[in-house]
Amino acid sequence: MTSKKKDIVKTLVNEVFMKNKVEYYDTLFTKNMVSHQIFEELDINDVEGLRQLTIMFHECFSDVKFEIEELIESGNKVFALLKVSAVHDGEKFMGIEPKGKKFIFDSYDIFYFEKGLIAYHKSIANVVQQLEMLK
Amino acid sequence: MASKKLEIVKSLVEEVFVKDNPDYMNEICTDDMESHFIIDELDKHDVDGIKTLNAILNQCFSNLKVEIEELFGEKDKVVLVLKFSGTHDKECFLGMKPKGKKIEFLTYDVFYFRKNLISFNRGITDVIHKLDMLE
Repeated sequence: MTSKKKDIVKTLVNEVFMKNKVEYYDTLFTKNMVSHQIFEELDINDVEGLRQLTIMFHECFSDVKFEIEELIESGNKVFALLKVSAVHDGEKFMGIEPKGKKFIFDSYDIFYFEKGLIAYHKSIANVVQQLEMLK
Repeated sequence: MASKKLEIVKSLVEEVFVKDNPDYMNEICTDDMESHFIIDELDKHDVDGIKTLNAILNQCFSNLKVEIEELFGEKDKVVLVLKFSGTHDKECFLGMKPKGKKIEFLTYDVFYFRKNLISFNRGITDVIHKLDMLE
């Protein structure tokens, strides 16, 4: 049986990150949610920031796919290991011009819950190490 | 039950990274254990790889400290977040010459168990993003 917290993370990944349905943000996070993504200049710290990051990613990439490779829950925490793939054929990304190249990276995320909503999020992704794929 | 596995991962941190006793890995890992750690050229793939990683850190940094920021698990999987800090005053690290600067970086790991031994590990670090601290 899948837990409610895992379901929320799955909705976030499948509907928001992958399909860019940013309206889901208001139903998944506490209003004062803080997100800390170690992603160089893309480090973002609130719901609006995360929303902008998602929009920006979809402006840069098409065929965006997020595969959940791991989902581990304990207490108020859910860990997710995501494999992200996309084609860089939209806007510039981190200073790199689009050339139609495929981009793949991993993201390790921990979501902390309060009263059934995501209240804190932190993650590390190997985006910078993978930028060579876009050149 | 996850608690025994949490204790094993905690002991790994204490023995291998704090006490610099890399041979302890042989006691807690299966013979065919595989490790996949995303850290550029330091990507290592077996028990000896993790030992080598620990050796590299000790060769490059003094005053090396390791703090467990997160430790939780579900079934045969354990999530570990570590904060490393040290002073870069020994060997070159990822091509950077030692200048006595302090560095702090995080690692996120997932450990997979088979019969109470670690059989697989995958992890990621933000150390590449923190190299500016050493300049």
